[in-house]
Amino acid sequence: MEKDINNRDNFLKNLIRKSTNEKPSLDFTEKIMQKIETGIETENIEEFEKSYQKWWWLLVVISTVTLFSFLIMFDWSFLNFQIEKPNLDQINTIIPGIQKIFQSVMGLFSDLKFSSISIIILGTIIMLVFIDKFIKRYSADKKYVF
Amino acid sequence: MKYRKDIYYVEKVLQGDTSAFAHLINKHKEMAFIIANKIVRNKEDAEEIAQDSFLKAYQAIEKFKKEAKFSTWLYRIVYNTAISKTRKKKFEFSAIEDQIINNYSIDEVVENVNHLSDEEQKLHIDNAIEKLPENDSLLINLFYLNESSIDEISQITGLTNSNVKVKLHRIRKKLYVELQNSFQTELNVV
Repeated sequence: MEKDINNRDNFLKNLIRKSTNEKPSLDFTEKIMQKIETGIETENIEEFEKSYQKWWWLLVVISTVTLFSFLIMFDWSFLNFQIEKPNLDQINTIIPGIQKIFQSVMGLFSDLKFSSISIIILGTIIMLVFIDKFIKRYSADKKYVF
Repeated sequence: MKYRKDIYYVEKVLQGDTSAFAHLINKHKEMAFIIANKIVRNKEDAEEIAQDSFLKAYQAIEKFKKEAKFSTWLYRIVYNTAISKTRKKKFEFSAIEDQIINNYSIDEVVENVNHLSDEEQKLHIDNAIEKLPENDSLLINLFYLNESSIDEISQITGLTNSNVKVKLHRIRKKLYVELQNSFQTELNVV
């Protein structure tokens, strides 16, 4: 019985081996290898960008330290005449003006109201976006590990 | 061309020898292409899917744990890529009616086939395979053409071992039915 099944299996195997199966193009391997090599070049550029970013941060730190040193060490006494006696009348007229501008801008949006349902919807959308990103990242990491 | 074992090339790639990956591509491109083609049934799409899969495999090669065969791991990537491109469900296999299955004789089919020339046999088996749903045709090719074990097919497709066995058994029967139908059609034409 088992011999019979094996014979039948060999029969099918031989027959299926005769079936037509299309083949990939002749430059299949070259195309992939080209993409891999381009990918490596991209990686090199990324590496360069990373090292460039390090230098950029170093420049930011040096500039900040220099700026603070300059601010602390420089003699700012020449500004005293302006800072010592602020013109209160001028300030008192400027502040209400700024307040009016803010009030008129707020007035433009006075009709815009958020109901609790719209806040819930917004919160849900933000939460779903984060969950989606998390799942995609997790599945991309785990997909082909075995 | 005679190839070394896959693990040799995998180690080379991990050591930074990119060109070793070309050997892995040459060794497995045909089966990778067949898997993709059986699912999408379009040569251009299949080629693109197979190429994408090799690139994915290259990028994820550090994650290959070497506990399974490289080919099984690669074919799973191909299978998943093809499935996601076609947006099909993973387990969309055919349900074959037992009534149809039982209405054939293996001995008769074998005898008919043995009387045919190679070219005619090829024609009939092509007809029969084409009638199978894509996933059934894929299982048959993995089992007979690639000689993948049940366990490997299970890893590639995500089906359980027992499920693969049952499906293969039913697909074999379905193939005999289709072969018989193919002979009948030819006889009717004659």
